[in-house]
Amino acid sequence: MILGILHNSGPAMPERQSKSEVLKGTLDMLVLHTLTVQPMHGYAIMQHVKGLTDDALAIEAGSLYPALERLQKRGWVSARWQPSPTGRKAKYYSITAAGRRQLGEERAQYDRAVWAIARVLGRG
Amino acid sequence: MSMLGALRYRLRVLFCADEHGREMADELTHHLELETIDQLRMDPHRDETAARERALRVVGSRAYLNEERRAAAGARFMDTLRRDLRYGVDALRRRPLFAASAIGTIALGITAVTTAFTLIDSVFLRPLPVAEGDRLVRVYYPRPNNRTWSLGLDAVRVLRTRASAFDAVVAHESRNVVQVGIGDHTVEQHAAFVSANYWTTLGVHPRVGRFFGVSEDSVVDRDAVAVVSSTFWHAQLLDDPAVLGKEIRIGGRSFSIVGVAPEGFDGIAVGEMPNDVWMPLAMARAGRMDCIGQPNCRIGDVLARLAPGASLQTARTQVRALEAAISAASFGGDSVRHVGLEKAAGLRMSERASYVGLARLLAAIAIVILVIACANLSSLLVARGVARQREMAVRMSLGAGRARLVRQLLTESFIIASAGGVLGLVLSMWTTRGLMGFFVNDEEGFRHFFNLQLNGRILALALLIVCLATLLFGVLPALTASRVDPAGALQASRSGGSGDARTRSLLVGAQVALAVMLLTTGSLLVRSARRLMHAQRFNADHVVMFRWRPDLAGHGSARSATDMREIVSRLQALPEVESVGFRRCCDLLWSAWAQGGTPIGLSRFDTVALAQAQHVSPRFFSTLQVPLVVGREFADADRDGTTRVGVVNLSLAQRVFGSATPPSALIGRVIRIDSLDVQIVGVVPDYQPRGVSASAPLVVYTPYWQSVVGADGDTRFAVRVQGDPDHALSVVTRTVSNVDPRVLVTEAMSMSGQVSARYVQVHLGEAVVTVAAALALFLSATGLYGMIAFLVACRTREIGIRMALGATASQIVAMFVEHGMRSAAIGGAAGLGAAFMSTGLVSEWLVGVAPRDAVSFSLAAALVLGATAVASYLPARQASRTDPASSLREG
Repeated sequence: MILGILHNSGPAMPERQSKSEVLKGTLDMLVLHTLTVQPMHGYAIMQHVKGLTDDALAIEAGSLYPALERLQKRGWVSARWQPSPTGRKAKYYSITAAGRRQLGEERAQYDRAVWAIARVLGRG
Repeated sequence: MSMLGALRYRLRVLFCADEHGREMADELTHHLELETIDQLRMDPHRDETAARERALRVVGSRAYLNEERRAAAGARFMDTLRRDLRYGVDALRRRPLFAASAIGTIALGITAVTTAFTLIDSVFLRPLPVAEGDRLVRVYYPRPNNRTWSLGLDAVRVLRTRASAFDAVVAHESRNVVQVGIGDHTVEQHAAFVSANYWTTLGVHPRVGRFFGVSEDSVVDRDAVAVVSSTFWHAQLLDDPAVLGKEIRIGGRSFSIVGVAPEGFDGIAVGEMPNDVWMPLAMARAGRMDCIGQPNCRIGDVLARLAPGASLQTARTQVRALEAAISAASFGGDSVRHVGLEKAAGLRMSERASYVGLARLLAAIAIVILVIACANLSSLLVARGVARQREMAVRMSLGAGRARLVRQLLTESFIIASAGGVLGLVLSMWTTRGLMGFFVNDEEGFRHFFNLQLNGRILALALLIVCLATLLFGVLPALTASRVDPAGALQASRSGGSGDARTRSLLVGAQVALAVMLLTTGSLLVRSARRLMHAQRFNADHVVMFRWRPDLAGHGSARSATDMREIVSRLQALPEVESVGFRRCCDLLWSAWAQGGTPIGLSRFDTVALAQAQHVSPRFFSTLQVPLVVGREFADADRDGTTRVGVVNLSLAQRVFGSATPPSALIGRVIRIDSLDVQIVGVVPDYQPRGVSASAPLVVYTPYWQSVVGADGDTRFAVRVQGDPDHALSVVTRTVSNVDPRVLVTEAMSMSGQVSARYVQVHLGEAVVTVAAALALFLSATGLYGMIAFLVACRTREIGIRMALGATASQIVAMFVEHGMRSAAIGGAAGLGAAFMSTGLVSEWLVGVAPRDAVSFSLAAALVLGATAVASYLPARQASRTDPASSLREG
C-alpha cells in the first residue's frame, strides 16, 4: 500500500498538483534524511531507502528525480558532478544547511501527524 | 549560501536550459547502467540485453521522466516562451505589411517617451561625463530663485583640510568669455580657470603635452600656462603640430600652451559653455576676476569628490558642522550662511529652470502619444484577431486552453513592442538631438553643449515602456481574440462580432479624444506665438548683426569714434549693404526692458515716468524698417554741440502727455531726460515683440553722436543687406575686422536668428506640440479608417443584400460615415472636456491667449471633425461600389 502512495502516478494522471502535499513532503523528508548520511547520487538514494526498509519502501525514478529538482529549486539540496566508484562521473547530491533545518521541521510535523493519527485509531 | 544556491539553480534552468537537459540525460544513463548491473546481479542467468530491457521497464519512460523533471525544475515556462516567440515571429513574418505598421505605430509612441526622458535625464539626473562622475557633488550657497553663490577659494581650503568626507575638492570658474589673441587676430572663446586638481579629480588625460600642476596654481599671476581643447587646436591653430609652447594672449597676458585636452572633453559646465581654454585659477585676473589672492574673494565654484565609503549624508553633516568656518572664509565676519550640497547631476540649478516647463510639456505629450499609439495598435490587433478566428478555433479544438491562447497573443504583442522599442530608441537619438539643437546657440551667439548619450537609465525606461505598452495594447485584443467558440468559428465565414466592433469604436473614440486634447493645446500655442510676434514692428529679414568691442582692445573713446565712422562708411560702400545702424551696448539691439530706467519729466522738478534711454545712430530706424508714427529719425547733423533732440516711443508719449494728445502735436515739445532737456523730433511705435499681457516698455531714443561722449565704444550693429544674409554676414565681418584686426567682432548672426533664439521656448513649444498634434490626428484618422474599412469588409454580404433590395449608394455611404462619426463625436466631446481641464498646463507659455480660448477649441474640434469625416468617407465610398451580385455569390 505504502509503495503505491509514495510512487508518483504514471502518465495516466496528468493532474500532479492534486496529490497531497503531505505525501510529497514525506518523499522529500526521506530524501533529505538519506542525504544526511553522506552525499549520494540518485541511484544510491533509491538503494539506500530500499535497503533500510528491506524492499518494503521503494522510491521510483519517476518520483525521485523530480523531487531532487524541486529540492534544488528551494535550496535544500545542492548537486555537483564527481567521479563515482564505477569510474564514471555521477551527479552527487548533498543536503544544505537550509535543507537540514527543513528536515528538522518536517520530522517534527511528521511526528505530530503520526501521533495524532495513532490517537484517532486508539493506539496512543 | 543556500539562498544563493537556489538562485543559481533557477538561473541555470532558465538560461542554460540545454546544459541542464544534457545533464539530466547523462544522469539517467548512469542510473540505467547501475540498474542494469543490479538486474544482472539479481539474476546472473539473464544476458545483458535482457537485463537492460528490464532496467528500462523499472525506470520507466525516459521521455516522461524528463518531462516530469523539467516541470519540477520550472523549465517548462521557458520552453513555452521559446515556442511562443518562434510562433509569433513566424506569424508576423507572414504579414509584413501588418508587422511594419504595427511596429511603426508603437515605435512612434516609444520615440516620444524616450525623447522626453532623455531630456529629463540630461537636465536633472545624469552625472558629469567623467570618471566616477556619480561621486561628484556641488557645494554652494543657495539663494532665492534657484540662484547660487560660489564658495570661493578660502572656503575651498576649509573643505580640503576639514571635511574628511571629500577626497578631492576642485575650484573652478568654467563660464568665462575671453578674447584670445592668436598671432595678429583675436577670437572670442570660452575659458575656464581651474585648480590644478581639476584634471586628476576628473580623471582626464592630456592628448598632447601635459596639464598644469599644483605648483603652477600656487602664486597669483605667476605661471601663465594654458591647456587648450582639441576643438581649439583644430579650429584656431589648424592642428599645428608645434602647439606646445605656442603663445596666446588673454586679458593682456601672454599664455604658453602646455597641453591639449582629449577629443570630446568640453569641460564640466554641461548645458552651458563648452570650454576652449583652461588656465590655473591663480591666473584668474586674466579673466577680469581681480579679487583673486585677496581675502573673501568668492571666486571658484566647488566640485568635490566623495571619499570612498562616504555617503552624501555624511558629507552633508560634515559641511553643516563647518558652515560657520566656511561662511567666515567666504564673507569674513561671523554671520553664518547655509551651505548647499547636491550630487553633481544634470545641469546647474540655475540652468535647470529654463527646461522645467519644456520637460513637463514633453512628458505629458509623450504619454498622450504613447497612449494614442497603443489604442491605435490595439484596435488594429482586435481586427486581426477577428481575421484569425479560424486559427484560434483550430488551436483550441486541438486542446489549447484560453489562457494558453492569451499567452500566445501577448507574446506576439511583446515581439511587436520590442521591435518598436528598438526602433524607437534609435529614432529618439535623432529627435533628442533635433530638440536640443534649439538650445545649442543662444541669442548672443554663445554655444551650449549637452550630454545626450544613451545610458542604462534610458534603456531601462525603454524596456519598462515596452512591457507597459504590451499590456496596454495587447491585453484587450488577446482577450477578445481568444473568446472563440471552436465549433461556431470553424463553420461560419469570417464576420466581425458586435463585441469587437464596440471595442474598436471605444478605442477609436479614445484616440480622437486625445488628438483633440493635443490639437487644442497646439492651436493655443500657435495662436500665442502669433500674438507675441504680432507686436514685432521691425523687419528682421535680410538684417545681419554683430557686436564690436574696441573696449577690450584698450582703445580710448576718440579712437573708437574714428573707427566707428570708418566702419559705417566702409560698410555703406559695399554693394551688398543697403543701410547701417547701431546702438550703444549692452542690451540686444532691438529689445527694451519693461521696467525702470532714467527719470523723464516735463520740467526740472517733476518725474512722470522711468524710461529706458537708448543711444542710437542715424538711420537706425530705417535700417530696422521701423515705421515712424510721426516726425523724423536722427540724421548725421544731430551731433555734439547742436540742439539736443530725442525720439520717444508711443507708450512713453502717452504716459508723459496723456493719450488724448495726438502724436503730431508732440513734435517740438521738450522733455527732461535725467537732467538734460531734449526736443522731441519723432515718435516711433512700440516695436519690440512682447507678450500681450506684458506691459509695453517706455523708451526714449537719443542720437548716438550727441549723447554718447567719452564712452568705451562697445556697440551693436545692424546692417540691412541684399541677397543671401549668410554670404553678406561674412563680407560684413571681414570688412569690419579690416578696420582694426585687433578689435573683436562678436555675436555675428542674422537678426531673425537672434529673434528666434530669444524666444526659443515659445517657438519650440509651438513646434513640438504642432508636430505631436499632427501625429495624433494622423494616427486617429488611420485608426478610424481602419475600423470602417474593416466593417465594410465584414459586411460585404449585408451591403450586397441591401443594395439588391434597393438601397442607393449614398445610403450605404451614409450608413458607414454615420457609424464612424458617432464614435468620433463622442471621443471628440470627451477630448474637449479633458482639454478644458488640462490646458492650464501650458498657461505659463501663453501670451495674450486665455488657456480656455474659444477659437483654439473650435479650431481643434473642426480639424478633428474634418479628418474623421474624410477617414470614414473613403472606405464607405468603397462599400457603395459593391456589386451586389458578386458579393452575394462570394459570401
